[in-house]
Amino acid sequence: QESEETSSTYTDRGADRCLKCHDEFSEFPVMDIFKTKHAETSDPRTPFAKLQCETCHGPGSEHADMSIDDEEEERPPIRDFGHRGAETPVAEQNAVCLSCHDDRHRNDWRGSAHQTGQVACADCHQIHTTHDRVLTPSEEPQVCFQCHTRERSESYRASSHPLRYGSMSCGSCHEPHGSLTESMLRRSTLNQTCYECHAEKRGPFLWEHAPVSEDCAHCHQPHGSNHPALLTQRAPLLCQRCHSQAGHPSIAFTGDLTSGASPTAGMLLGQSCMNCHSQVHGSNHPSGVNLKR
Amino acid sequence: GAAAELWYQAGEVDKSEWECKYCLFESGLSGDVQLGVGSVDENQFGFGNYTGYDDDGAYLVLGADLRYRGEEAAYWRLNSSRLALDSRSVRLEGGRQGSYRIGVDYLEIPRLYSDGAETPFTGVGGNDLQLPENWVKAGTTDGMTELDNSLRPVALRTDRRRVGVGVEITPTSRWSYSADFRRERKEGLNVIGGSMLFRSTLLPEPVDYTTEQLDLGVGYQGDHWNVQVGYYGSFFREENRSLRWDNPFGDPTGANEGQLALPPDNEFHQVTLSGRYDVSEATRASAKLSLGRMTQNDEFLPYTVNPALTTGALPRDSLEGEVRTTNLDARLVSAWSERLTLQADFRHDQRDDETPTDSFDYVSTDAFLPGARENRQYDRRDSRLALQGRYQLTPQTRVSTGADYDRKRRPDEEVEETQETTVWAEAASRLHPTSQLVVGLAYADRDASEYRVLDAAIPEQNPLMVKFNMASREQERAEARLTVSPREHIDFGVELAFRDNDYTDGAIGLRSSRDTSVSFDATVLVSRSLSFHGFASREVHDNEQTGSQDFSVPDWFATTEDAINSAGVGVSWEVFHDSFTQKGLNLSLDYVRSDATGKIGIRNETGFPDLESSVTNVQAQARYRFSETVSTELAYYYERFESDDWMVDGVEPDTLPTVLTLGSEGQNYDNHVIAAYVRYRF
Repeated sequence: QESEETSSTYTDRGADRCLKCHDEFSEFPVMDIFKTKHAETSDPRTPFAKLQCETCHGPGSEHADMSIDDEEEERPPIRDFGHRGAETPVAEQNAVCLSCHDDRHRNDWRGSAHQTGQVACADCHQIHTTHDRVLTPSEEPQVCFQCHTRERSESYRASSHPLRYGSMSCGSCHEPHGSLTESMLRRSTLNQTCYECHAEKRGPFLWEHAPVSEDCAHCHQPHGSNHPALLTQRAPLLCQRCHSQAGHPSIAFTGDLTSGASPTAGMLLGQSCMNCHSQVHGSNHPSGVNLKR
Repeated sequence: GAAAELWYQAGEVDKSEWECKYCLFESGLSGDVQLGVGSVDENQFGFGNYTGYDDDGAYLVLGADLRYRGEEAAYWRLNSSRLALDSRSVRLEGGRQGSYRIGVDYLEIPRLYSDGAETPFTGVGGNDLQLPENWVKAGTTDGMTELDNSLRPVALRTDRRRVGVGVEITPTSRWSYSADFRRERKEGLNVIGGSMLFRSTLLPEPVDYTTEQLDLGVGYQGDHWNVQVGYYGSFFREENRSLRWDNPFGDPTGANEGQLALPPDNEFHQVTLSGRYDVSEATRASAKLSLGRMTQNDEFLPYTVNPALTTGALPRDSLEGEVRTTNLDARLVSAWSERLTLQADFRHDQRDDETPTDSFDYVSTDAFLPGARENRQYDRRDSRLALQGRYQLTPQTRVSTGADYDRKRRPDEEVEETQETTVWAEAASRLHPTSQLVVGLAYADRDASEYRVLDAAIPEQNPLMVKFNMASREQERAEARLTVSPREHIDFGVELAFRDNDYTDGAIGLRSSRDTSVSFDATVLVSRSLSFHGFASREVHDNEQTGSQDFSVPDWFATTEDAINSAGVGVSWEVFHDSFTQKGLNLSLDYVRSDATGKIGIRNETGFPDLESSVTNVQAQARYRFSETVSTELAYYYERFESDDWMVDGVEPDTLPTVLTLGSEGQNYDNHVIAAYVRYRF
């Protein structure tokens, strides 16, 4: 979708026309853009080395020429960005940004969940500020959480990655501008992404635990869980999804846990199955076949 | 498109009178620094998890956000936070726009598990745990008469410290070169179980990891295409190879000590070729091919440290473990017409396990020799093709639909092949210029080939067990999202999500799982100076599974339900602001509460006790601006965490007769931090 053609032309004085109204005290203050990379005239790629404000906002003479006293009539819009209800269609907004930023970092933007979901660049990025929150790793999750409300709730679970504490960002694992992997991950697979910080679980091990090397998410919920270690479910039931061997792995809880002497308590309390089978991610011990060494 | 029409007029625009005299271009140093003092109310270990607020008393508030702009697009930028705490971070980036960029960063992450743990062992932190000389062994913990006298507190925590350096050079607009290196140390203590026949001891596990990662890349940007070649290397080292401990139990087999392996050193190397080609303005193809190699060759530990046992020789001294990975991803997306966009995604992930297999005459828990077992390799292939079309039905409404086909092959596991077909549809409609409804539905059907019981499984697996990740499955998904903006700067959103999995093979194991969630969020900007936001959500995760104690048909049925309710509200208020003197007062307050309940029921039995956890978090800030440059700020941080967790609550070291635990309970806390500092902007 494109906005209707306007007859507007570029202003006669460029940014000076815009800044007469859009000063620090205006409804839409813009002056902080002069503290950012976009306002660098000696970098010929930047808006201020081109058509200044109108590089992005488009020809503004009609918008600017209207008398400030003429309150009756609505000011003809310039190309506007970001907020819901913006006059400019999202595709056109983004085309403006991509006219410079459509480089190798945006190869997979087209067809990505954010692009097909009509997310505007300016939904996440702020241009007229020295402090674009989404580019500050410690504050970036708060920007993502505005839409990803489930993940925000999950970040408050008893077990979580340190997203809400600012020590990790969504971008540690995800590529918001699109990637060809599932869930827009930065690395080729989920496991390769997890191993960036958890390389001790990568192996290869002499005794592999098959589901581990296949998919960390078989047992873990990366955005937060009320079970320890971001587990999707509590042991022993988590383990019993796949293990019903002859002997103790198959027993159901039938005792009273208030007494440690219950016959099953030793297999349920503390670390549950991992009291003995502690090497759940794989073991390199020659006697580690049952993941007990 | 829209953009193309615009830029290219630049040369035609008469800019002779464009003076930019009101443009306040910044040069030199600017930014803001914060200096002050904070105080943590109480000494509560769990409160320090991720935050660094584990010690009570005063701490220094020190932070800086500095910018420098120099001649010819030179710049520097420094960000830092929590400099005086164990959760500090610093980031420095600089360079010349369009030419090069250099970055350095440092980050610490404290992970605090428990300070209530106790252990009778000495040598904690090392890889050799010893019991006191006068230790009295017993078959069960209640007979360990020297336990109480021997217990020493131990804090279970790990600390990550990461340093990174990176450089990116773009000598021309065509070429780019980049190199990033990160080195992370993770040190501290974790918990690991060491078993001995039918007894176990929870041990403080030394953690002394170093992970180094290197990313190198070179790229070329053509007019309608680009290509990149990259290398990724990851190198993991653990200082301790093993953890040895004295057996505190009187073992009938005479095993006096045990030894666990700690994670072996390993490496991962990967080369990546990626790029894109714009077939036309409407059609783009992009792809990425990654070839990787995971290796591990740590020297093997002996079968056992029990000298009373006679074992055969190890078949080899080390694993010579090697896994090759191939990942190919490709996408073709085309705006077929103004209204119709078609897209195809293909993905192929392959794991070739080249690790040699041998027969190992293993020792069970340093106690006895049950026989020989061969290690297994796991090769896997996962190929997926996804097709979709998006059609702009009316200016307000867009419909999308697609089909995915996913074939997974696991030649070394119980199910050799699964094939899954997914169909989905979504409609997004602007009901009103400022309201949007998106509804999506999906159905997936996964077929599994015959389930094989593997010979190697000892003890034998129940033949009615079908592991959920390779079982036939029917999945239904539904999602709906409504966003309404009745006025500019007032946004409401409601989201519903549902996913149901039914596992249709076998009779034992996970039978079904269901996730439902509903969430509501709102942002209201009453004026430029006052805004509110809030959210509320409820999520429920249900599972049904079966088991068989008698190694026959299912004789127990379990349900688990995790229900989580969360809500938060926040307000941000500029109480006053004098635009002439720049004096002003800003207040903000955020409150979040999240309550989780976990229920596990066993049909016709009492079931497990409930699991409960609750987080309450309050953050408040008041900022008084004296002038354009100086302000003083008061910040308040509060968090309460409460949990009822039957797995650890009340489990003292000797509570369980057969497991000597560390007695570490849940980390409940209820604590405040208050900080006052001056912020200077320049």
